[in-house]
Amino acid sequence: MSDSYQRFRDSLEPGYSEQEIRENWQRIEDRQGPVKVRRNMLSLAALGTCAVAAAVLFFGSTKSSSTNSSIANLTAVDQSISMEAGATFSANEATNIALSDGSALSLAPNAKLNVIGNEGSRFVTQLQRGNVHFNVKPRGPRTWEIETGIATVEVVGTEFDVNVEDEGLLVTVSRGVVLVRGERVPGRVVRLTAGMSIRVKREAEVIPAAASSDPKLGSTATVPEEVGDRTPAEAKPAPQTPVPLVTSTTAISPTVAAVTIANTSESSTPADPVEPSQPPTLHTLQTLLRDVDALRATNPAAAIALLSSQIDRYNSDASYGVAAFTLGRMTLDAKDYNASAAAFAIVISNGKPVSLVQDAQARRVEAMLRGNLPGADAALQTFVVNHPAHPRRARLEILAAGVDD
Amino acid sequence: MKALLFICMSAAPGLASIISLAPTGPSDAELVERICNGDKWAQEAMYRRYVRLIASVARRMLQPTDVDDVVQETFIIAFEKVGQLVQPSALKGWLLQIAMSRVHRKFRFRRITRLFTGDDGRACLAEQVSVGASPEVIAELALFDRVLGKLPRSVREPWLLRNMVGCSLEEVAAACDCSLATIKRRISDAQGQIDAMLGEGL
Repeated sequence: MSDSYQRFRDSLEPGYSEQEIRENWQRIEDRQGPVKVRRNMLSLAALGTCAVAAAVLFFGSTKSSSTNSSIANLTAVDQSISMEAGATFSANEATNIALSDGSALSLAPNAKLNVIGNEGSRFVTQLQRGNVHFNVKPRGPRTWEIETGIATVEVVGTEFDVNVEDEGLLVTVSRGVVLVRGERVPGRVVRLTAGMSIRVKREAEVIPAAASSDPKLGSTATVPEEVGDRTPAEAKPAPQTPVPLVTSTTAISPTVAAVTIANTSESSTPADPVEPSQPPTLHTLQTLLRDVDALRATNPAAAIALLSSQIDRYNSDASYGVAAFTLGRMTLDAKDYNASAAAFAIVISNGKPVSLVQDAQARRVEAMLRGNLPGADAALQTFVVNHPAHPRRARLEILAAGVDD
Repeated sequence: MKALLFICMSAAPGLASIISLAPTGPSDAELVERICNGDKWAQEAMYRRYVRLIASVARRMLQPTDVDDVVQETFIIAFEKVGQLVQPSALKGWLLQIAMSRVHRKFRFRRITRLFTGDDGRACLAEQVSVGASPEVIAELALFDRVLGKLPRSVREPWLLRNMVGCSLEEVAAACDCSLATIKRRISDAQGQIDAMLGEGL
């Protein structure tokens, strides 16, 4: 495990400098004598402080527990719409319902949704038919559950579609994570992240759906290496090619569904199982970035090739923007300005990490200027207007004037 | 190597001054023995051997203003109580345990003062990067900071010790005064929670 974080440890300041070591040793020597006396005096003060602290903590915890027990029930922004248990929504046309916690429901025509529980910390609905798009505000105070009769969709966060059709249930995740539970779900529970989808047949069959072609969802949902109980450092290296979640839509029996949901072969059969998919996590991308870092010093071209070929596998990872930024910097150094501008554009559109976005904007303009790419001047103007005090502004203007090398 | 040095020193005490110049130096057990016998040099040797580790632990856990206090108190307590150390070879883990108890003490104090200052006293990893760290690493550390802030201390600390300080599992177990199995579970819990939170796009 530790190896995956080696590059972070290497980037952190060491514990002490030599001067600090000397100074602290001097203070330790000074303190060694009178420390017991001072401690006795301090213990009295500490006793008083503890009494105050206990009182404060008691009142604090009382306050917080009373807050927790008083989470308001979810309501619709439009006061005429009731969200209480028993409410039913059956729309003839597309309907949007904005909710009090910032979440929203979008019912497709003919969808029918019942509210069966609205108890402050829990919001339970039953989707009888049709398609509903759920946009659940992340880290809200309540859990969301959508019962469909075929499976239960449990929200970890944050945006997804549930479609109850005649043949079964289709769950498609746009953003965040959802859990799909049910007897007919492989392994009884599947965790889906952005870009992944699952189709659960009504009649005891599971069809693992192809990754959505909806550009909003991304063209491929990917399966990172299986890590399980192993530490990242001990985990297998990432596969070299992007692996779509499922490319086959052939129905398979529930007995083999658990091992075939992540099957990647078009001609896959139950006899050709692979491990169930695991959601992308930081440490899997960390493994890749560590490999890229190791290659970068000796063979930058290979590092670029490795990162370029793998980066899309992690498009739902929290560090996707970081990886794209790294790719942008490396390709900029390698004078591949088109690739660099494209990589920085990913960081900008991704919006994360926030601390890199401005820098990515500046570097994208730099790549465009250096590569004489179309729109470079306009991009510079926009950047200057938006970030007049950015430290890279002067450098970019020199580049635009053609004075820089 | 340490065993060999120890045998050499037992057999020929006159070699001690030469052997002490060796990179490994005297063993922890020997240092403890010498400190118990009132050897000031051994105190400083122990301090110099472990001060970077203890400072690193304090830095990854606490704000910079609290680091010196933790380091100094750790060694002062260690020098006072070193005679109680049952297994002198376990000195490193014992020092880590003292350091963590000092860290907890700081957190307890901060828990009270945060009512007035709003500051929980936790370290910010992104502010501890050395000169020349890449912007990506800084950004990722900032991400870790946000996620770690949401973890309970019982799992956050072992994770930090393991991954940001670089302690072995045995050392983390000693520092947290837990069994190895418990520490493995806590680190795994922390990792799971971190992965989940990062997966949610925190």
